[in-house]
Amino acid sequence: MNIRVDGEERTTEARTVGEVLGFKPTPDVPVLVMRTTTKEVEVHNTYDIETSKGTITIETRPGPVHDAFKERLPQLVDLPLQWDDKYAATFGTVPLPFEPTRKSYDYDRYEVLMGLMGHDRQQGILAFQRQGHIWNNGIEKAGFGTVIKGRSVLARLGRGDSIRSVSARTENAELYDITMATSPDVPVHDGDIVLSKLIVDLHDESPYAVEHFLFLTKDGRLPVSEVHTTFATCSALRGVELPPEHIRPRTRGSLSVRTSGKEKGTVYVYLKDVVEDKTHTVFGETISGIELVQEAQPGHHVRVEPRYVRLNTLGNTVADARALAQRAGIAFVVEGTAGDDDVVVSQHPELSTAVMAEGSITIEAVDPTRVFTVRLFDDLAPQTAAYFKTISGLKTRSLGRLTVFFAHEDMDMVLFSGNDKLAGTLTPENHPEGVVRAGEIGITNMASRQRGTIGIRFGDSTEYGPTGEDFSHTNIVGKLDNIEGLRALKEGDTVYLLLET
Amino acid sequence: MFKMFVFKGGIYRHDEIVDLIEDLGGIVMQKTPMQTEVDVVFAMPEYDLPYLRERAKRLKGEILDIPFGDMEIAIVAPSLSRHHLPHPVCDISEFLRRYGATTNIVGLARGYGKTIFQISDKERHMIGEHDAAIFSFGIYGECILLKAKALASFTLPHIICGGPADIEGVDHYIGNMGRKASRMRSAEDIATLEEVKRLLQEQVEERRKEIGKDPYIFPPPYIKRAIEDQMGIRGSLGDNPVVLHLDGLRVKLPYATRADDVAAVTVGGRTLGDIARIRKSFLNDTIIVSLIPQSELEEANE
Amino acid sequence: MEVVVRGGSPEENGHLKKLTEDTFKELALGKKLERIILVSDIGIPAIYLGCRFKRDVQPVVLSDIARIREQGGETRLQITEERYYDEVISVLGKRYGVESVVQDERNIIFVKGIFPDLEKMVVYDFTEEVREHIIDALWHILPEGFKVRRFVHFEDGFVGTVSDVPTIREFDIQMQAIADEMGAGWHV
Repeated sequence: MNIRVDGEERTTEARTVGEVLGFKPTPDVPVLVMRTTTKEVEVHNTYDIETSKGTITIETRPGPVHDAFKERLPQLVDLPLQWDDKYAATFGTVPLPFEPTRKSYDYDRYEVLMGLMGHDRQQGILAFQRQGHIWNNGIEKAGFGTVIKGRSVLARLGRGDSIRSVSARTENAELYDITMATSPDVPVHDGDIVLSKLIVDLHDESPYAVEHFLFLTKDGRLPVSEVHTTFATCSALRGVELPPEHIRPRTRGSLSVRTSGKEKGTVYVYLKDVVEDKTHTVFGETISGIELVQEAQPGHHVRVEPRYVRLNTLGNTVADARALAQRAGIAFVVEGTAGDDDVVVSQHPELSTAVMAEGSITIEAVDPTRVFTVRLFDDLAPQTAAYFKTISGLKTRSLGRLTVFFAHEDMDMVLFSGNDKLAGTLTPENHPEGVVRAGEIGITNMASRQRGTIGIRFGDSTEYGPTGEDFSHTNIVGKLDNIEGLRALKEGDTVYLLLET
Repeated sequence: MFKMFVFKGGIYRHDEIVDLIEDLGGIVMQKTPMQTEVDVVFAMPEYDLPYLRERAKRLKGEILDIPFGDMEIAIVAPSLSRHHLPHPVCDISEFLRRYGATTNIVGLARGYGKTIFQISDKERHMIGEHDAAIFSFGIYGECILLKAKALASFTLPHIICGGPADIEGVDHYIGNMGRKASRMRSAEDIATLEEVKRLLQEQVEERRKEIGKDPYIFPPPYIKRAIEDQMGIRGSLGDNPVVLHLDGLRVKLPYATRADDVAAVTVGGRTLGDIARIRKSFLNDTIIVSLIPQSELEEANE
Repeated sequence: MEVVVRGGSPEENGHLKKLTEDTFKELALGKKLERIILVSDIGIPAIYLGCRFKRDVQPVVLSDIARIREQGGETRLQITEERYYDEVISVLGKRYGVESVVQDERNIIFVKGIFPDLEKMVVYDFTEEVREHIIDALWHILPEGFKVRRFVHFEDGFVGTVSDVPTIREFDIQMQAIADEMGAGWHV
């Protein structure tokens, strides 16, 4: 049978969604199956009448006069203007099947009607009212429509003008039966449309917003936070401040990011056409799969395929980085020397858009002993984890870094600088219970003057936390995988961090 | 596409509502702060109005419909120079403003007598610049009938107000007005004013449908924002330099010196001069911008 | 206050009557009016009006508010109520000429000459004020666009005609009819 998958026609023997796609949709990562129920619907109440001065569009009402009009469409072609005055413009003549009448009727401004000249059924006319007027048009109650477009054309018609063509408008009304498939067993039928991912194009004019989106979706998924009629949102990176970039109208399928306000950093997928706003950078658009977002629920993860992959190698091994560059067809340059297992700590250029434009990246790498893997307790200390990610840069990058601000060979711990302003709202959470273990990461909370300081102990302690403070002034935010190499750190040293996957 | 609304609520956290309006494709028209409260007038598509209402409620505020928020209405009265007691025009004007209207009281030069009710061409144009007109007539049915006849060819949405409860042969008529000795405050009076609003709204909705069928390339609220941003004019505390019309705007700047600047404002890659007719108001020294329907622009380009 | 309205339909008359009563009440003139008659003839169109007000308010005379003494061929007035200073000077000046009136101190006025009836001179007549206020109120009540065509004042009232059209004989006839109805012996 023939089905359409993510915008491409396919012929297949497969019977279920799982077989068609080659992976298993789940309740968290669903796909959409759409079945058409109705095709084109001809809407016969709007006509475009092309005249020598322009097009007049009329909207009609059902009735015998409308029927007479509809049946005579071919005869209206090349019909010349008969007469016009300030009240009406008429075209003719064409025979009409109506009884002539001598009565006068009140026709409204812009009304469309038929009439008979000289009470002769052979001399039928099509008339457009320029102004409301009571007159004897020869046919009883012959108004059957209204001019809705082209009123200025009506004003300009005069002797020598004629009707060139008349066409009825047709409207395409496609209705679908939609199924959100949350398991692979959902059946597919001939003619179905399957949408398994959001395919998006990204705009080069907004490199920071694009990078933000690529970081957000680095695991190939877009987590959905809210779904409304106008848009759906993804707030996973809410709080990240980006510079305003390209502002343009948001159409159905547009991707934008807010650059100011409480929701800055939130990514929006638009489901309706709306005007542009200074606070939304529009950085991409949907090629296929918008319906998948429209039908998604908060908490769903929508599979995403951006036009190009994120080309940021920070935190990767040199070997992996080289392979990524090769796959993307860009040149790979190492500054200084670096073994395959060394970890990339800086890359130039950093923004994926710029990398694509330049066609090459230059990287610096360090010995893996200087890179530590961190497990963060997002559930137990959500606020503190958010603070830690912001300070270390892990909020917007795969590789974080901290600077040592205090280390002494006699001290059993090392301290890293934080930001006391940001830590001003760091409420106490997840205090140590009874003992602080080596390797646990502690942050001084707002109760102390040294708020925001980050620390790690080399040995357990039952008295003081990792930043040397009371347990009540300490929030435990996570744990390092190993503490080898921490003792050797000196003031001013940089320590690199990767999030545990 | 746009409808007009006002958010009324506390100044604290109102920026969250403004942000949401921007997210939903709305445009803020005017902000009027009053100590700890603020009124935000905005135009917005209706798609997610229920969600916006819910968010406003959470902040102990509310969103009200202001169906006349994008209109300028003329209240046509005789010159008020000798009347220092309340006149229904003041009550009508104030009532319509509650629903967002900008109102102008237009006085007729030739007075309002039975035989002298003549409305000059200039006055017809002055009134015609508005989106709707309310005529306030007196208490004698015969006089009102004659005056209504003089207005027979008037195509703007309009209401004729007078004393008699009903007058046969006068369309769009609301009675129990005429002239009043005191402000219209009783429950009965308010009901009468509500009738005026209701009858006017019916006609206005028809006009909106017409426009919907032959729309402009950009709606007036969008143009207003572009004019304010590019010409550096923005109202403060109730004063409104750019007034919305259903088919365009009125820019309260002198025509002779500023019309070119208005024509040069860019919207969506075009200039305002390309997509609108710009001329001097008949009413005063302001600039009238009348948008041209998109269908006409397209034909002109062919 | 008695309000009589005739000439239009019962609804129109009722509306005008209510407007008149409410307006005069709002302006606190009700008590000062005895009767007001309004007759409308929309055919012309014209409105004939008549109004009679109460004259029972005593005017303020000079002896009420000043101590009068003759002094060296002149009359010395010591005004006892501050609010009448200007009124006195103005009224004296109108009657005897501005040069004859000298304001020596704020409340001391000399008039050159001796005048026997000076103490009875009317300084302030409320009734005239009432007349002004009633006429003002009428402009609110009468339909707009009607110009004043004839107005005849009497000591305790007036009659008049407002109309779109210039004066015709009918106006006088109607105004006299109203004057007769007032029963005050007015003659137009």
